Amino acid sequence: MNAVDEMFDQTVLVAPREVRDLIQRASRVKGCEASVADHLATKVTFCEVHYGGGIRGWLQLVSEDTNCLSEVVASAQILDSLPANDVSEFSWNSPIPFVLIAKSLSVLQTYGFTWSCDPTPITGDALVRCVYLTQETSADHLLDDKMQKALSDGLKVNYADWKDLTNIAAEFLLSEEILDNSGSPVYE
Amino acid sequence: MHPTTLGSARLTRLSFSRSMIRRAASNNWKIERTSIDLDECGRGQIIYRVEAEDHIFHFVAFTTTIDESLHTDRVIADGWEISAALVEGELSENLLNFLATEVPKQETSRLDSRVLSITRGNRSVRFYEYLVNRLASGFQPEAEKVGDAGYIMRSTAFYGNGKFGMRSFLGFPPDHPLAAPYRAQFLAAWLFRETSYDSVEYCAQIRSPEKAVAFDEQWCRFFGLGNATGLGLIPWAMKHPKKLNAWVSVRELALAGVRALPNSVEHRELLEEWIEQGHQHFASFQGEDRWPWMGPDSLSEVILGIRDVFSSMDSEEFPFDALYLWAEEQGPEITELVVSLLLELDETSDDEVDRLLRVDNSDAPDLLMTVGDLNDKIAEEYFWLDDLDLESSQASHYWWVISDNAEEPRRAERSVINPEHRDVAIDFALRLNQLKNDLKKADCDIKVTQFLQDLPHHGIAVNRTVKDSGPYSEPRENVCDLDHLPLNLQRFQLAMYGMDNFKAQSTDWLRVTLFQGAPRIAELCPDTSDRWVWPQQPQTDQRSSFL
Repeated sequence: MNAVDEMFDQTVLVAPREVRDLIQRASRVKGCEASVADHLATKVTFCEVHYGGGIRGWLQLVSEDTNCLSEVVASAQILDSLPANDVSEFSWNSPIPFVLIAKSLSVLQTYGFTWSCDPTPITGDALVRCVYLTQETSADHLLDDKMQKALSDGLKVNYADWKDLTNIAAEFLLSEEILDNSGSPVYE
Repeated sequence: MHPTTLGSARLTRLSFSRSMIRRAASNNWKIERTSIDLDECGRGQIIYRVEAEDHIFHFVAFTTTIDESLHTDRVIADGWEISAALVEGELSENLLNFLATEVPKQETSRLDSRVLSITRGNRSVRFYEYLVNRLASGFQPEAEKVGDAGYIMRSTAFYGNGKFGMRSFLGFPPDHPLAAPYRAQFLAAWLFRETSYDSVEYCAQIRSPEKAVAFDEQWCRFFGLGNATGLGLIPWAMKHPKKLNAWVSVRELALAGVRALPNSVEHRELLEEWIEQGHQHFASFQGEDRWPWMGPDSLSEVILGIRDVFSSMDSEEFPFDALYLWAEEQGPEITELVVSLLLELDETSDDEVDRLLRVDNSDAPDLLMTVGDLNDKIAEEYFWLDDLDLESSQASHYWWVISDNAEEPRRAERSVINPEHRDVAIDFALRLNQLKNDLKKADCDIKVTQFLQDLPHHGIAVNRTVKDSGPYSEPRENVCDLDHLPLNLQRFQLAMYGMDNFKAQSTDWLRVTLFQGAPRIAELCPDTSDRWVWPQQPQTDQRSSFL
């Protein structure tokens, strides 16, 4: 097995920006408005770097019903705001993947909130039914060593997931033939 | 900044090509060609080794020939005559094989964090063979035949920063020799230019071992690297407000410092020397104006005018400020020419500039900001939106899209193709205008995060406005407008890179050169002068031409 085959055997090394770019494009393909896709791309990239399973969590969402992606994203948006109370509980009738809330919880940590989930998620594709938030006088912040390592060395992601994501994201691109026939300005 | 100001910018001492060479020289980087294996047509492989501040890099170029009909300036080509990579670390056989397989694929390659930048390009169809034959015959080039070219090879892209799996820019620790923006790409570009020289000289030697000569001193520095640039720069500029702000800020800070310099013989003489160097350069290059910019003939006249005006200011207390104030009244091209001259007097340390340019785009969201706060911020910082006529039909004439061929960015007419889900969201002026309108209808006391729960499509515009990206972060134009001229933003970025000889080919793309006048690798040492820019076109050596 040569180096290239080995690299692609189970996992592939990618840069964080590639995850972001592909999720953004693929989310557009799956019906999200540009701002929603952008927001989602930030969440998935964060989760993939810090917990893993972010891409798989996103793939699970789109495999079920292509039209519901924006709605599921919206259902998690409550955690993008500061809770009104020092102790709060948020629950979803249909559990949502941790990838949708990992980044929001990290931001809330910087405002002094500690969190726990039910069930306790390990990776981004884990389904979460309920989140508990408590305001503390001081809270631990997530260290960004993992992001620094991903930027420096690359991020190992599941190859099959990466391939699936790449294929979906490719639909974001427009055929050159259509562009040429439309008279789109081009050089030469 | 106003688009036409951006579109008149010129190369300065802060440009990345200049700062890269200064860093390499002052830190005594050791660069050598470790391998060259080409046939008489220049097909094969060239490798350079760089020892820089306890780091080892290699630049590996794979060269071939392709039919002239397949040469293109666009990113969409299937193949190139030169494809190359800059990697960090020792070059094992495994890594070399990996590069040989992946690098020629360019946009379809899969790389890893050992790779810092990849590039590709073609030879100048007109000049490569001529130059090889000329050197092989024992002669230097004839100025009238190649002088207007300025390059032997032309690149079409320099990729880095995480593309195709390469190392991300912020993955470089701050003390890394390539930790400044685009430094890896510019080291690659400089070595690409070296490759072009070495390729010609080596082929000449193979073809005629007895008679062949190398380029002489004047030709050794004259050729730069050609570059063709299209629309890809526009999405980049629009998506990176903090970086744009940093790029403009370092210029503005330096300019403020120079304008504050009191009158001194030393500084006056230095500026006069640069004015003279500029005049000699433009006068020797020659060439008429090429829309929308002045050509060398006009610039050579203009710079004489600048010289005359400056000489009349020798009793001013602050002559450099006086010159700048005069230039501001002469229009953007003259202003920016004067700025580029004045910035040669700047003495800001390169380390400080590098630090200011190293920008992290990630920001923690502000969960406390209210709609009222955001309204105030928009009124204060985005007043210029009112000048763009964003409600008119021509304001959304174009939308931006990425083609499925090599992911080439393009713009399409909205009335001809429906964007559906394919628009690249750089329509910031339109989005900000819509946000402004909707904010007026919202309760000023609610948090912005709550506002976004109801209207999530404003997310991009909100993120843009709540970030403190700095006073120079917005190009202040609508890139979807019928009258949008991409050349303005393109030129600003290219000037920051250190490119020159701007030759617009249409509204959407241009050709430039970089590293014209720069030292070859063998010349690099701590004493290498920073005054290599603006070279003069060489003169034909009459003795050798008529032998």
